[in-house]
Parts: sequence; structure tokens; C-alpha cells
Amino acid sequence: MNQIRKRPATKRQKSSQSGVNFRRIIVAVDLSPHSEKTALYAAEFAKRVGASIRLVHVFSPEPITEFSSEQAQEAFGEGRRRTVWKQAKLMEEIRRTGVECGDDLRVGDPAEEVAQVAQNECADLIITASHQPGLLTTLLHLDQAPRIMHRANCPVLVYHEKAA
Amino acid sequence: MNQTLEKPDTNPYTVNMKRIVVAVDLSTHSKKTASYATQFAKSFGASLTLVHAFAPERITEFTTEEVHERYEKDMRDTERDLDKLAAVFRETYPDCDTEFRVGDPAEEVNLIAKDLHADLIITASHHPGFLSRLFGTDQAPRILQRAQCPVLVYHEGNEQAL
Repeated sequence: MNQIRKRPATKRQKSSQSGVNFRRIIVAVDLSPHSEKTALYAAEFAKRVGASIRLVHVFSPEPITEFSSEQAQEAFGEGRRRTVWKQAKLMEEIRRTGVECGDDLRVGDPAEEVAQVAQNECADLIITASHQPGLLTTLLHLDQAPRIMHRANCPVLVYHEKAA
Repeated sequence: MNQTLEKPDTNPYTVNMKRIVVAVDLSTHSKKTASYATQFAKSFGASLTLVHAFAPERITEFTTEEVHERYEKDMRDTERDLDKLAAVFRETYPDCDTEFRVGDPAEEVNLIAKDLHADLIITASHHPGFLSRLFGTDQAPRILQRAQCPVLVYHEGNEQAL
């Protein structure tokens, strides 16, 4: 029992002596293919520095209005179930790399919620994906990376796939 | 044949942090960012390049020789400041050099990152207000938009992360 507890402490001690002390990394995912790549990059990063990961996905609030049909609500619920399943699968994939990984599913504004989780967890880093934004994406604030960047209280690493 | 088909270890997401480019505007916060970058580079054994892009001279019909000389002097002073900053970090982390350019900061930082095949760009960000967003004075989002490699943004107030 004690041995298991000691192992991560040794890793942390080593990283603090030789650089930034990364312990907890928040990874913001929208579960698009690019954000899944970001999560796997984050797993490798965490492995290198001996940190643990928390995957965070934020659902938009349910758009229930008086005009929402039962069918629309079912489709919405099904979408959420699929997202939960995808996140669990991604978490398993990260754990297979040997990195300690937990998850958090939230409802609200993605940037606000991710920044909030990072603050609650005293995270040392947030890793998020960025989709190269076009004019419309910029205007409609669809790319969350700059919004997370402005709200976070810790460094934010925005993952772009390195150009060949 | 009883062959076991093992997956080759070709993880495309391997974090190969060999070279890090750090954008500095030589403000107090950007010096703290460079200090964080040095610690970060130590974690990975990466080499560090501090980059400063000096604004190009605006030549108009009213530009006198005196103004031009002042611009040249400011440029030389800034380049010296960059070298001094690198010298401070070299005392604890020798694998640190500098690049001084004239031009648009976001463009130049990304060009250097591309030329050096950088694995990461580290930049400072000042929590921007409405005006700085409107005038694009916070370079971090502009660097982010143009980047072809991961970008780490270090905020004012992140000092406790060190």
C-alpha cells in the first residue's frame, strides 16, 4: 500500500528539481477527432512530466422550450449518452498509457467551466485543442481556445498538430 | 505460423520537445514568462530561443534624420536588452539563444518557429480588456491563430505556477 503511494511522489520530486512542477493537467475536450488527438498528446505530455490528467467536457445547456417536442428531447438525450460513452472510451485509452486520468462532465459555457475546474483543482496547466479559425468561427466565438486562454488562472497549452 | 502481431511503437503524439521558441516583448511580465519557459525547457531538456520582434520604422515625409537615428538607437538598445535577458537565463540554463527581428511580432515569431522546426511556442498574455482586443495589442491570440505547432500561453498572475 505504502509503496504505491510513494511512487508518484518520487516522480514529482524529480520534476520539481529539474523544471516546472506539473502535477495536475486539465484537458478540455469537445470530443471531435482533433480534440481526441489533443487528449492523446496531453497523455504523452503528462507521462513525460509525471502529472495526472482530468478530462473535462462541457455540454451546452439543454435547449428546452415550450416548442421542444419529445422527439427532440430524446435526440438531445441520445447525443449526451453518446458523448459520455466517447469520453469514457478516451479516458480508458489515456489510462492505458499509464497516466492517472479522471473526468468531469459539466453543463454550461465551455470556457467558464474549464477555467472553473482548473481553479478548483489547482491545475498547473490546461491543454486544449484549437481549430484553425476562419472568419465565421472567430466572429461566432466557436473556437474555445482563446476564450479559455483569457479566463484561465494557469498556463494554457493550445495544441495544433505540428505542420509537416 | 504462430506469429504475434504486435503494434509497432509509432505513437504520433509523442511529445518530442527539442526546441522551444519564446516570444518576449521585454516587459516585466514577458521576463517572467521567459523565466517560466526556462523552467519548462529544463523539464524536457529542450533548447530555448528567445525572440523579440521590433516594430518597423514608420518613414513619412516628416521623418527627420534625428528621428531615424533615435529609432536606430532604440533598436540597438532593445537588441542589447534581449541579449542581457538571455545572458541571465544562460547562467542557469546554457541552452538558450536569441533571435532579434524587425516586423510584426506574431508573423515573425511564427516564421522563426517554422524555420527552427520548433515543438512549442511560449508566449505571454496580458489579460486583455476591450481596447487591447480591439487594437490587437495582445499578441498571444494573433500568435495562436498563425501557429503551426502547439502554443503555451502564460498569463500575468500565473507566477504561482513556477
